[in-house]
Amino acid sequence: MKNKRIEDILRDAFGELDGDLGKMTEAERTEHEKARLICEGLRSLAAVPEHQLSNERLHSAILASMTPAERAEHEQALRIREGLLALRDVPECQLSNERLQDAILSSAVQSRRSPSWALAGAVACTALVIVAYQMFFSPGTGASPVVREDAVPVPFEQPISEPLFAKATESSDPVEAVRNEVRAELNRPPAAAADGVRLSGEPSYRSDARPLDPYLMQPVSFDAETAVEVEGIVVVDSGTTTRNGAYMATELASYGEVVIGG
Amino acid sequence: MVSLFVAAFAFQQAATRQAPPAETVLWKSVEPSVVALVRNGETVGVAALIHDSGLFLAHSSAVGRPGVQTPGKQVRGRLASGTETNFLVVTSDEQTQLTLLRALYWEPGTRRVLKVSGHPATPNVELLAVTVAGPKSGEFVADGRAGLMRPSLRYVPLSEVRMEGTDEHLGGAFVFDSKGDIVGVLGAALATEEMQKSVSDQAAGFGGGGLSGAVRNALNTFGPGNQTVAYALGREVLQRVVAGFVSPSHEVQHPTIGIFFKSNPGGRGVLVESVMSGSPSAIAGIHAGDVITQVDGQAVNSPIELAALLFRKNVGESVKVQYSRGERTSVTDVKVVSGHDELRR
Repeated sequence: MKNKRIEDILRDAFGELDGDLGKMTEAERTEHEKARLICEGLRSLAAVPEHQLSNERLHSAILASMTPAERAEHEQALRIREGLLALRDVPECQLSNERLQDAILSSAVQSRRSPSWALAGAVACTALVIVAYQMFFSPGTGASPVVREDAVPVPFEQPISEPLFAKATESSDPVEAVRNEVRAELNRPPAAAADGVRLSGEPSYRSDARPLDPYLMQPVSFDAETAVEVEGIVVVDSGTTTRNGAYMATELASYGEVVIGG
Repeated sequence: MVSLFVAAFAFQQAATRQAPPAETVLWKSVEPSVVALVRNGETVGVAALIHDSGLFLAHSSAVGRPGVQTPGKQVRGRLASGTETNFLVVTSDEQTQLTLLRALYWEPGTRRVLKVSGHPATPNVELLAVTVAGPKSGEFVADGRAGLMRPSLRYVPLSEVRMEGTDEHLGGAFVFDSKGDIVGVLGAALATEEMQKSVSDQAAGFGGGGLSGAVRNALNTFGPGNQTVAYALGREVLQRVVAGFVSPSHEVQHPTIGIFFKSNPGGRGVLVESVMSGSPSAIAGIHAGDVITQVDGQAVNSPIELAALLFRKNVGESVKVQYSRGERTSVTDVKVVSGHDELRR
């Protein structure tokens, strides 16, 4: 019953809708109209060099691409769209027949009063869609020019009370939480050894030339999970600095005779 | 409406031109928590805030003579605001050459505490390195490079980072990921081709020589541009060090069982080169010349694997070590102790 009344109101306001358009839902009609306008606009703009593409030219091109029948159809669709837009902010529970009628009629009156504004709005919307299409989806750009694809928002300030490490832990003691996290990292099962890791070759220095003192007996730690993926070893000489101010590192392809403490 | 659209478009174009690079945004987010260490008016290193009480992490090379850091020594640091303050060397971790500093005058809650990243870095991703000269772009190349510290023969896990240029001061630089978390501290840089060649010749018993100067120059300049290959202490070991530094004792607990080992030229397993007197391994009956074949039921085929297994153990745990001595195979329980405790024996 309600639908019937709405149809009557629409018919009173806009007259009989044409067949195909009438069978469409409002959303479908809007999409259909958008797509058609984009296609028309793009078709007419294809021959215009990019550096000559002004808003006026865009406006003229789109208008020129429309037949009188299309313009009428366009205006009709716009009126329906405006009426529906006016209803968008009304909660469903408050959508009475009277309100619906008022909204549609008022939008219809408005558009009758100033049809040129409706057309200008349509052109502006179309131009917006086309330019947005060119800016965001045209081949070669791939992404918004404002936000870099790889950019990650960086918090400027974080609460000082946050845990020390990025990963959250359940422990209330920050030190214990850090330890738990380290334990969790360390307790992951080690990766299988790659065949190429087992190297043999000339020694970089002989272990028996070094006295065994407590300093040498310090423990060993090593990142097992990924180390097996890389051949060779990086020897860091903490007694020598490079011109970069860092300790001198030397890559050795083989470490067969290198002694490791652990 | 058209003018509204044009205005919006113009604003967007302006925003595009003025949008700061991601590196700049990142630098601004970490800058207040980074201190430039100065000596005689010259910047010699950087330190990062790791605890709200005013504890800072720095590489030992930025604090004093390489390998020599004296607890109690005072160093001067300059905050991003330009304010200078004094820092006290609390302790140093000899295995990683990292040093803990405490600000003598510090107001808690005024700076963001920098965290060690909880996630592995992705290769070929741009990083921000904070060097003596300021922020600098770098590229993460690989994680888990096996590092060996001389002369102590201690292993450290390293991350390889490429930096543009060859003359920049990189020692002790901090490396941050895109979230502003610490992913490494640059501890070493690859020697030049000449140095590499010299070291290789030295290791091979030659007296130098090798490539002619012209060929060497050609090799050095070949490629897209001069780069510095730097090695950073990786996040896993950094987590351990930071956890130890911020603990009440400020001690870092690196697990050890008190042995030195190398590849077994005779085949499978790892050859025990020497055992520290009184260490857990000595107490468990392991001798030099034994061949360790399994740890906790897992086969050990190279020194790297054994070092990796030990690195993952926790201090206080016991490991089941299977070893061969001649024809006999034995299994023994060995207690994992802290390297710090072991050193104090």
